[in-house]
Amino acid sequence: MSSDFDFGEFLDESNQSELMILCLELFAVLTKFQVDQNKLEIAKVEILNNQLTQNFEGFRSAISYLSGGDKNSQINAMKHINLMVDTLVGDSKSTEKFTEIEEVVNESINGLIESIDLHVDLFKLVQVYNFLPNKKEIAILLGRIADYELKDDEMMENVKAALLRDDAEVLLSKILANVAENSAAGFISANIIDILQQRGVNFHIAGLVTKESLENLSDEQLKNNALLLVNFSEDIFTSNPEFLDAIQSDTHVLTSTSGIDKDTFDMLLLLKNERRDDMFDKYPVKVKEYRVFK
Amino acid sequence: MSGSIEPIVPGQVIFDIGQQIDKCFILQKGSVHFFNSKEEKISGIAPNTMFGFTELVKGKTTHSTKAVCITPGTVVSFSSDVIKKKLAAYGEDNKLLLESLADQLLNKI
Repeated sequence: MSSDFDFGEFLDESNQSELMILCLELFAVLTKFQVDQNKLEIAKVEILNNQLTQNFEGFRSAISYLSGGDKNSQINAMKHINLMVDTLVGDSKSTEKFTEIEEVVNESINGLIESIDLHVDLFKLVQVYNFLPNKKEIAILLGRIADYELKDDEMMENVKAALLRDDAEVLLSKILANVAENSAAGFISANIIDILQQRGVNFHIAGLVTKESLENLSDEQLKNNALLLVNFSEDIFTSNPEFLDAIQSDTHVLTSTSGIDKDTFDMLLLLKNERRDDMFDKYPVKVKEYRVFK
Repeated sequence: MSGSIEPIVPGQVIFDIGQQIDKCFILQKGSVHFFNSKEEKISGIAPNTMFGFTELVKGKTTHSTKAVCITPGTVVSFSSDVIKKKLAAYGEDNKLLLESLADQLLNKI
């Protein structure tokens, strides 16, 4: 059950540090290739019982659905933990814990790389790299490769080999370039990503935009038309069956991906015509508007 | 009415003058500056500060400042109904005190 956001509890930095430490402990359990179910349950319950957790429904839900046998639930929880750890204000105790867990993660990473078998293992590794402050670039590259969902054993072996090397970033960039070139559904070029990022779109969304979605769109439209990130629950397809038609008639759908909360989606939309402030008013959606390119 | 974590990027307008106050914020990382209608900077805040709620204390429903992200970071946002409920629970004396504090802040604009 979600309760009202308790800003008083949240503003107390020692509470934030306490939750961060619990998140770090759970992350260390999840980093192992074979997750220890008992340790997982203990770490999970600690987080679910924490007062601040009640303030974040999406986070609470991701942790409560976490299971040792379900890698997708682990990836989703790791995504939430990474966001939480990046957001919470820590203190000396949480900094000390971070250093300790960073070491654990670094020790586990080679084992995780060598055990990559399924595509889902790559996505888990993306979250592991995302956790490490100096490995975010690898996380981005690996995430983009993983998003192609290629079932090519040779590519998978190349990725493994690249990750075990000191020049992993360079090698992953080459693999990504090859994958993009060979793929019919290629992602957009770096200069288009720059336009979207300068408008405020996060790389993890901008990087998912495909060439096909930009057909017949000029750079000027990309720079100046209203650009929105719309988050909605899958329930909308039942409650408002006309929703998708409305989107397709008035906007260009640049990309869509799963949202951070369970059963939600994020859609990056470029409005076709002049601004229509009321376009989404009648729908149960959250809308974020990006600034115009300067 | 749970909270959401939202990344903010330089130049991003978190809320604008005249916009309905539907969310309040806590700045976790980065910095945010506030501007009046003449685009003059009137204040700035550092992390672990709540913002976007002052007008509610005066019973207003729209923002009288523009909040712009200056350095990248994150905010935690939550429904303004949380603040409205808290305010409704205050006694008259406390309300007057809060209103006078809000007045002092808003008069700076």
